[in-house]
Amino acid sequence: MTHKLLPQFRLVGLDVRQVMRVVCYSILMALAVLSLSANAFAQAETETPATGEDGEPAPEPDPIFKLEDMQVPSIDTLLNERALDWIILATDDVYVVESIVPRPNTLDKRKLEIERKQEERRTAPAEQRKAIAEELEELNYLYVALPDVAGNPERRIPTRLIKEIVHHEDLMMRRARMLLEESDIEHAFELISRLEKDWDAWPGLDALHNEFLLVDGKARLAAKNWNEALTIFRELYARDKQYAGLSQSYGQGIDALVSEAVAEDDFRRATFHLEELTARFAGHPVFQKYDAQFTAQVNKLIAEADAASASGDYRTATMKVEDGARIWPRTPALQPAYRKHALRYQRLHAGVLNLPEEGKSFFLPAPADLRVQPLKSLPLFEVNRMRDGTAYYRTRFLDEWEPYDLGRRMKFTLRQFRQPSDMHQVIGSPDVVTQLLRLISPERPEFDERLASYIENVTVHSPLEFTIDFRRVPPRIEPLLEAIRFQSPSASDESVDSDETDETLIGPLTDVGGFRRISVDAKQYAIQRALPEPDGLPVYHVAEIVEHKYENFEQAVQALSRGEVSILPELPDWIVRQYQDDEEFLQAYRLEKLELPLTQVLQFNPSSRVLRTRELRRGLAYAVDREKILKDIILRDEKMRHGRIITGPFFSDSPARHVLVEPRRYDISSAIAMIVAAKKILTIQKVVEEENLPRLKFLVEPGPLQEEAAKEMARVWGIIGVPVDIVVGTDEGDGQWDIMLRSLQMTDPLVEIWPFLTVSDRAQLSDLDDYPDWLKQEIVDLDRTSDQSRALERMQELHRHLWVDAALVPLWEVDQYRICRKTISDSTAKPIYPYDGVDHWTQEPWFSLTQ
Amino acid sequence: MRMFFTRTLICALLLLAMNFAVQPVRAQEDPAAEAVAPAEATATEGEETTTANAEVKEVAKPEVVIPPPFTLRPYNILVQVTWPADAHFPQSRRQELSDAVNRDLASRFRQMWNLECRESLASERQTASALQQADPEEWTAQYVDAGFDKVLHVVVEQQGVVQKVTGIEWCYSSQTLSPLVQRESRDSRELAKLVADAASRAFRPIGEIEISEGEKLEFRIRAGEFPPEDPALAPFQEGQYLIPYVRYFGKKRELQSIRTIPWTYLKVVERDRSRVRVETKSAFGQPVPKAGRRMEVMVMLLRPSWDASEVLLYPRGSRRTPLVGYHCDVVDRLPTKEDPVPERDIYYSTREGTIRIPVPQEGDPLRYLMVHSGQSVLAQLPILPGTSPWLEVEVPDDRARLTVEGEVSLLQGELIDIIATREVIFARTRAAAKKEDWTSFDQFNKQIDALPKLEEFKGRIDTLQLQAVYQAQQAKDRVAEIRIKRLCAKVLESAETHLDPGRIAEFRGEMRGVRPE
Repeated sequence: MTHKLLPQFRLVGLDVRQVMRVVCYSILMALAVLSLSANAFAQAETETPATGEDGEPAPEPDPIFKLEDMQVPSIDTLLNERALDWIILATDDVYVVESIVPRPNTLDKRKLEIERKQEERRTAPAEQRKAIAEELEELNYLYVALPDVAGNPERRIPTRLIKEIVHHEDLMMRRARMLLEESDIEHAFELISRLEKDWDAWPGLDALHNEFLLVDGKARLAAKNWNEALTIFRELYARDKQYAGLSQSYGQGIDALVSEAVAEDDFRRATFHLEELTARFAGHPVFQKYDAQFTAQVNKLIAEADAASASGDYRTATMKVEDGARIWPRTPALQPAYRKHALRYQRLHAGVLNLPEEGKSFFLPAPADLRVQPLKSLPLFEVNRMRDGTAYYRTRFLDEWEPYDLGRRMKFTLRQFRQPSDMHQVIGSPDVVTQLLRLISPERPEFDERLASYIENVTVHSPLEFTIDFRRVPPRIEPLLEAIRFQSPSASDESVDSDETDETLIGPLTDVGGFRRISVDAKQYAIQRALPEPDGLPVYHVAEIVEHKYENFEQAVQALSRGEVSILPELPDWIVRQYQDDEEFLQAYRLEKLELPLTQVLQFNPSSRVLRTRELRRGLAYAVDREKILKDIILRDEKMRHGRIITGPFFSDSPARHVLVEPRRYDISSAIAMIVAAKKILTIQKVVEEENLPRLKFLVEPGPLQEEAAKEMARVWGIIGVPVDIVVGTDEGDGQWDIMLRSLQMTDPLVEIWPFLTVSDRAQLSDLDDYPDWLKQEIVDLDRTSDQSRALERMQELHRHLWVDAALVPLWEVDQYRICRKTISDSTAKPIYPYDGVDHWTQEPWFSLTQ
Repeated sequence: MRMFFTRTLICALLLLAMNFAVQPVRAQEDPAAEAVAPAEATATEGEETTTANAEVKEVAKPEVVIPPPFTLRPYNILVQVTWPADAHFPQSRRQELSDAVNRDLASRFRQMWNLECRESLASERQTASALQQADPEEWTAQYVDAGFDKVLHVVVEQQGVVQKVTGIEWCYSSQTLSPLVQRESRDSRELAKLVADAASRAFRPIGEIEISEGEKLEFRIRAGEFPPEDPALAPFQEGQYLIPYVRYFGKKRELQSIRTIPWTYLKVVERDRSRVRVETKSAFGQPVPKAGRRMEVMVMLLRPSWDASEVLLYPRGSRRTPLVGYHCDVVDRLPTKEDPVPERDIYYSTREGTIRIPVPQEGDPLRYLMVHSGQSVLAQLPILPGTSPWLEVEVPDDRARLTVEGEVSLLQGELIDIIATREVIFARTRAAAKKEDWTSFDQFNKQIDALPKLEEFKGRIDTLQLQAVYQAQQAKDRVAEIRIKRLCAKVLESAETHLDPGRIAEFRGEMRGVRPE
């Protein structure tokens, strides 16, 4: 009040203090004059002593104000000063008094008390009636205390004279309303909050709060803070669904958000908002507007899908209806159209964190690559199951393969038939033998030195029969010939295949089939069946796999529940455990364990000069607290139910494991000791100067858990004096690395240990040049052993030596799971990899009506 | 001048002696002499019988056959040429060409060769590919009684406008075949010269030991006193390498066997007309024996004829399991302490157990092949790359010793681990004591107790040594046995030095007074 008048006083050139003084005096004078009549009345009613006993002059009269002069105190006064109530008399005179008790509704409560007392008097015995009458008499007066008066501040006011009591809280509400009218949301909120804090239910406070929310929401709408406004409206909706103006304002906010989402082509978001709107306000005009608009759009897409399907472009048809489901799943005509097209060309959507072919500095196949590799290049033999750590193989191309001459000769007979749903084609001897010849021809880039050393001769008997003569008998034929893989010609180099000078090309090659990569949007990776299923089949199968990339596992799970994806091929263990016992979840989804766990190891670069020192490797190995990392980062499970510490690069139940090898302990003392020793040795060898180790490059396979684990390892290594720079696999790199964190699934250690140790895709003798002779000869001897049991003995011995030599740091193995929506029917009993047998999967068309 | 007169006189006397003895004297071992002698003897006998019958009958005296000295004994050479059998080579032309070849070779080698040059008979015709696969034993069976020291067979093949000439030499003395010599030309006028070139190149002169005293070796050169017209064709020139072989005879001077001396090459360091002094390059101490009554020590010229030599490495007694991935060094001289020969060509044997050593582009062609196995050198051999396409090196089976080397290396690593860890724990214990952190102090003391002890180490070393020594003894490999024992002794010594229980006792004593009771 004061501050509003200030400019006016300034206008007439008066000093503010002087003005205030004049105003105060004027008010006092006016009050004095006014109080004359009131005093006369008050003298009669209030039992205030007129004079003192000693005959001193009467005290100042009580301050009484006229109602029309009363002004609602400022927010500052209300919040920070003493709480004062107004007693408004029937004459519109106002007493400002200290807080009255009881409150609120003081007069009503007094009235009730009087009635109760009167009732009591009626039933009371005669001797008590007098006392009750006296009490009743007292109840007709309201005792109050005047603020800031000299002498006794207590006064007694007959209740019959009181027209209204305005409590301090009422004044706060009045001020709050005034503030809301002025759109001062912040101060209004402050007052309301104080009130709500002090009083659970002050009369009118709820209404004030609702009013406040609506005003606040509208203010935010005006500021285009749609989501904030909607959040406030949702609160108001929760308080009062029918609140006047809420529906309109809510619709306004949703309209804006839907427009934004449509502009960004995010129809799922738009649908989400519209669903929310209609769930609260059925038949809302905004909903109806968009319903009509989107339905028209989807109907157009359905028409386009029908046209595409009629022309044989089933993929486009499916994509159109998928788009329709994305835009407006409520479209009445969508469901039958969707079913029709999505059944004919089935697209399997998967939610992942890492897409295949994303690795840049990480040059080896990452788990994401291994997921799709068996579909992109079909192996002659592939692992079918593991029993007691031994791999058993299957083949989709061969009818039989029989050994002759004690295994020195193997006759292969190819299959002549295939099912229409099979992703592979029937192949002939030229297809296999050409691959084989390329693998054993030293001039070819595919040359496999080991395979070449085994094969003496290849004889083609007929288009479906051929024989391989071996120089020496391999322990097992299947893992050796696993290197024979068939890729769709479009995926491989056509110029090489069609080269007429190519001596390995013994006949025309067949398009073997499988899946091949097709281009899709960013943050997606898709592979499509190379051999489409023909028309007229009663049942069709998955024709395309589309992987969608998400930022984290939680988002991927959310996408599964929203219907964006139907399968999660990679899952962290804590999510697996969360859903394993969730019966409601398992009604809609299948949680399946994969046959092979994933093994993770730290590998050292054989050509890194610094890491050739065993002491340094041992020091690093001692400093990895594998149990802690496995529990806290990888599994987030103290009991480690789905993970195990391992001692070798193969599975924990592998027969290649030496039983006496135990996990290396986490021992910081030993780690420090070995690092100190390594520094001294390297300085003596003049590899480093003055015991200063160079910064080691730690290459980490793509994956959030791998990165987190690597950071923890690097942290401890830094503490013990080994500086490490982490190179994330998806980053660009210079090809240099010293330590690598990688995942693998070594099904046949006898064959795979050599390429693993040399970080290569095949066993090449030259890759062993950096190894000490004794270790090199052990690896070579193992490779040349024909007898399976002797080979296993050698493997176990090699395992022991690798462990003592700290040639690698085996970390852990983690069980693998996948989650599928139950709309997918998969006949594979024990899947080896997430998409195992996908060419025989069928997917029941389904989309979520609500997003 | 005086020297010249002396030499001339000696030569004159020798020529006189040779002429004097040319008819009645026959070289005992000379195949030509052996073959011709009976016929001549028969003829002589016939003449004498006639004379005897006609004139006075004299008592037949045994003839004294004195062979000409080795250095004056020319080679009896048969040159056979297989001309193409087509219209471009009619009989007349073939005869002309054969005559031209004969003239050319005769002019080149003059008295050094007793030359017979002729076109191959129908049964003797060869092809280049047949020569490539020729078997020395078959050739020996065919020509051993023909009376020639050398049989040179040259095949001429017409391929389009190109004339390809392939030559080979069979040697009576060594009963071996020379590497193939191939020439080609588009100029038909040069054909005779080309054939002569091939024959000259295929020819491998031989020598016979004269002096073998310790490291001093000197050989006589066959027909060394008949130098060819072109000095470049002179046998055994300085810097050339010879291969020694020994011919063994029976009691009746019949040839029983011929053996080459493996991994031994003789380098010509000095040549004086018909004699050469050589330097031995061998894997063995004194490989060339002295000649005996029933033993001839011979040498033959060795020429690189291939781009490289493939060398197969295999352990003793198991050729079917060659050495794979073994580290080999090829050096131009043997390393010594003073000269470790840093410039080395490094090879690793392939999965077939072979390495391919190319012919050096310049300098001395001799190289040394060193086969390594861990810290040991299994073999150290001289080698002349390109003189043979395929060589085989048998080395001791080193697997047992290499296994021990690996185990010892790991044990040493563990030893370092224990010692370093012990010292760090000592330091941490002292620090804990200083801070009066007795919980950590006790924990570290427990860690010290848990460290492996010397006895445990000794046990492991003993077990290791026992197994490996047994294997070496079974293989009768004394060297490996010694090396195994040496390796084990070394690591045992380290363990005894560093895992001395006294070190821990000393530390415990130091700590005893630190902790209050």
